[in-house]
Amino acid sequence: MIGYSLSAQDAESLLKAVGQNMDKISRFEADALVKVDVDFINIKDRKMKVRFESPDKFSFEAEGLALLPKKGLQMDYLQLLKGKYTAIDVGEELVKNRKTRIIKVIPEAEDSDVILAQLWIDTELTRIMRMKTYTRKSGSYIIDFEYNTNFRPLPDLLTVSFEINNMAFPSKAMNEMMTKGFQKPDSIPKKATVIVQYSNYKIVNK
Amino acid sequence: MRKLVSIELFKIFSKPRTYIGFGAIIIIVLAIEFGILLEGDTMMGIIIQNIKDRFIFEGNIINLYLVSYIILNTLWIHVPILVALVTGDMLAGEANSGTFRLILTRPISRVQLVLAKFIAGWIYAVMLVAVMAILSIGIGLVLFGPGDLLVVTNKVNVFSANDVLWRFGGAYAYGILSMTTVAALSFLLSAFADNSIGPIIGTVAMIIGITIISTVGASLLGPVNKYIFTSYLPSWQLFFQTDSGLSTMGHAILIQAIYITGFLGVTIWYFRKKDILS
Repeated sequence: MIGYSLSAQDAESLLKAVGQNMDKISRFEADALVKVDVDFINIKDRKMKVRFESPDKFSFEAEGLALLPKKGLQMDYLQLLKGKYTAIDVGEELVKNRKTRIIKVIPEAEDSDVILAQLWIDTELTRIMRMKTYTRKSGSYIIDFEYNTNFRPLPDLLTVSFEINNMAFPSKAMNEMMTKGFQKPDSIPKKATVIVQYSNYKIVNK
Repeated sequence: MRKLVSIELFKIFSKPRTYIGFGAIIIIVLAIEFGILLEGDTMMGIIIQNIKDRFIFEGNIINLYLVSYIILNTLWIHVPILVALVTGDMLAGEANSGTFRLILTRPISRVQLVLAKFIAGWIYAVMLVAVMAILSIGIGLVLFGPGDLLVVTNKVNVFSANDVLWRFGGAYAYGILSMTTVAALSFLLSAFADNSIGPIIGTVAMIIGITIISTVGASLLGPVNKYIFTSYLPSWQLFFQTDSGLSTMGHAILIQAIYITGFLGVTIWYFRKKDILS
């Protein structure tokens, strides 16, 4: 019981440290290259400008039309860590040769979209290496963070993975039915991966 | 021949019904453009509902290319009717008004007359498609501006703005070919009739009827479907696919060309031996 309480406090302290690491940033701007890898979506890589202003204001400026994952790009974990939650330390794991602690986070707010999140936190640099989230509205997704430098908590590569169904689109052109006949929608969920490569960070600290 | 075609064009553009076609195109394009201007967000919400809970779209989805693409879809319903309205009247109208006897006393062969009429009808069809293209792109540019094109069928395709114009060029060119097939069919029916109502309605009925039969009985008529011209009327869509769409374009063009040649050939053969009784 005491051991569990101590462990829960350690988990919470670690999460707080991650939040504080991010809180040091007043605003930042970066270039991003977005690659969408989904079986039924054809879109070329898109260049984008990402801007952030503390505490949680994100804006994106894309060349043309860009498809961005609903979760993952806007540091959703910041929202999670600012609310009330229960943190459970479930062990350690090596992620990309970094020693991480695995912490399960259960938001206490009843109306929270996030049901459960699991974070792999680099204990030395106090930043997230991986995050797995289960949500009410958007299903589950995994975010992998890669960093090219030890000096900032912002990633250089973000990989967001989730599953998506290719259901029959309501605007399925009639001519497709004419030439191919009615096709049953593919009900097997497809794996979707969105890779965002960040560069040219311009960071302003508080 | 040029003189004959000019005369036939003069006859076409002297008739009020010709302007119904252009008027209808203008109304349809304006209605769609302003409809999308007012309710485009709701419409797009329905179209992308399957991926909206996983993705957000950053950028200008509703732009001139999307609107022009939507207007292109009218090519397989509205425009064939407007084409048949004129080309279905080209031979039947002359028979009805009793002017064949007068024309055929002139030193022109029946073949020359039929070809001149067909070419004039074709020019009218080209003008209809051209007006549709210019209006949809022109008004779209003013109301919406350019942007990447989002095409949602059984896949989600996003075409960059600099990769779209040639696709529209190809689609409109193929649209002209499709409408030439419709013109040739209504022209053929016009040769058999003494009243233009029959060929006009007959053309539309045949296109819609064959389309319904080949759709509903797709599994039964599968082997035959690839030889029916109605299966290829909307093949302009192939220009907006990324997966080997254009490789089947050659087959579509060939089928259309065969039908155009066939319809026109039968028209010429029949008209040459037809007794002019009116």
